[in-house]
Amino acid sequence: MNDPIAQIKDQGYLLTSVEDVVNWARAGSLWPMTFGLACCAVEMMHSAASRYDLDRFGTMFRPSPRQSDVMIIAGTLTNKMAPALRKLYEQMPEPRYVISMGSCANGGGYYHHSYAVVRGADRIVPVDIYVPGCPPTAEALVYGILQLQRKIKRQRVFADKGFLQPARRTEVAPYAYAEGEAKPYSSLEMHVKEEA
Amino acid sequence: MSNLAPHIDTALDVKALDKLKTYLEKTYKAQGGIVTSDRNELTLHLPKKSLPAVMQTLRDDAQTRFTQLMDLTAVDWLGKNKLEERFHVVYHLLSLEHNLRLRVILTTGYSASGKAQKPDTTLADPVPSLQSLFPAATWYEREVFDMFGIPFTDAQDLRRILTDYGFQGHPLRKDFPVFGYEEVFFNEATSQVEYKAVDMPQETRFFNATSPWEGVNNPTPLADEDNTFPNKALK
Repeated sequence: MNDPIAQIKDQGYLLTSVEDVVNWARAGSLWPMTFGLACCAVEMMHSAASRYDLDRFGTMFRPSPRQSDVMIIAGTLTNKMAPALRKLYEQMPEPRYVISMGSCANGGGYYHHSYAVVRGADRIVPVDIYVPGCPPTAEALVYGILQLQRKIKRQRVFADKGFLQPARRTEVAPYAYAEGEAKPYSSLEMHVKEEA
Repeated sequence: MSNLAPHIDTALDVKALDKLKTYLEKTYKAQGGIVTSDRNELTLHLPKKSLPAVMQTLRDDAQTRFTQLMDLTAVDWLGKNKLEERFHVVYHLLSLEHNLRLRVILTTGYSASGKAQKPDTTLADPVPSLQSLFPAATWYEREVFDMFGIPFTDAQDLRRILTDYGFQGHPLRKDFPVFGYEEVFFNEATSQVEYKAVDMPQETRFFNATSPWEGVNNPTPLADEDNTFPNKALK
């Protein structure tokens, strides 16, 4: 898909792979489970509120793990909360993702030496994206969600399950221009040429 | 009276405070009460056995009417007090009627026979519960029991309130290691969240908390003086 708009205008349809469509759908409706544990939760609320507005990315907070795709661990994970967090993670349907938000969830943070705090949420659940900060700004969390979208779009949905053999993407050698053959200009080169 | 906080001095009825002090000294002398005053705050030191009776009169007496228990906590004086008086249990009372506050302190610790090898999990000598007088004491007493290991006699509900289920030890005691004893992790083999002995691979650094800036009230600490907590307390 080099230029989907042009392709639609020209032919009225698009050609793509099922994998791309599946990943596009998954990345475009990431519903996070509301898991606010500390002050990071306030920044998470800001990211959902009107200024940053996560709804623009199809990200709507759900109160139930059954309806969620991604768990945003926003805050300090204590030993007492750890089994509950794991249980909620296991109640989420697959595919499921985890964003660890803030220093405490990333590695214990300020409470790293505490007797009551888990030194990193990745000791309990597998984490996809780590958002640094104490607390991270709402922008940082939005950036983390966008990074997760990128990660999802790179996923090999069917290849990983053994449906696709061999690998879908094959390396294509760049076109070899013959001696004296006209090369298309890049937009930048055209611009420079016009100025000259 | 000191002029450190003039706005507080004007807001506080100092005469009423002095009056209360003499009244408390007179009334509770027989029960072993000692009243001290510092920075316009009154403290009533009590022996353990007279606590419930004194608290009831403090609450019901028309001269005092300390009807609200604002706070109940404890202090561990390990290394400063002897083990029999290791803990202070502190009650903060408020009398809305007279606009006065009072702090009540009693001491507890290990009786000579009850001293065990592991002071970490050994409970201190029990303190009378105030749950029947002040319902607000219930959760406070649970917290003090949880964090300091001070049991309260006649307490209806003395479970841990803050720490993890099955937690061992009492974290706010000075001899409790800050890392604790156990840490939690997810065991892939058993698919369960499990506990294991705490393992801190990085060497612990002790920071000197005293300020490096020299001042009248803040002399620079000597280089060879070891102010870090465990070393100082164990000397």
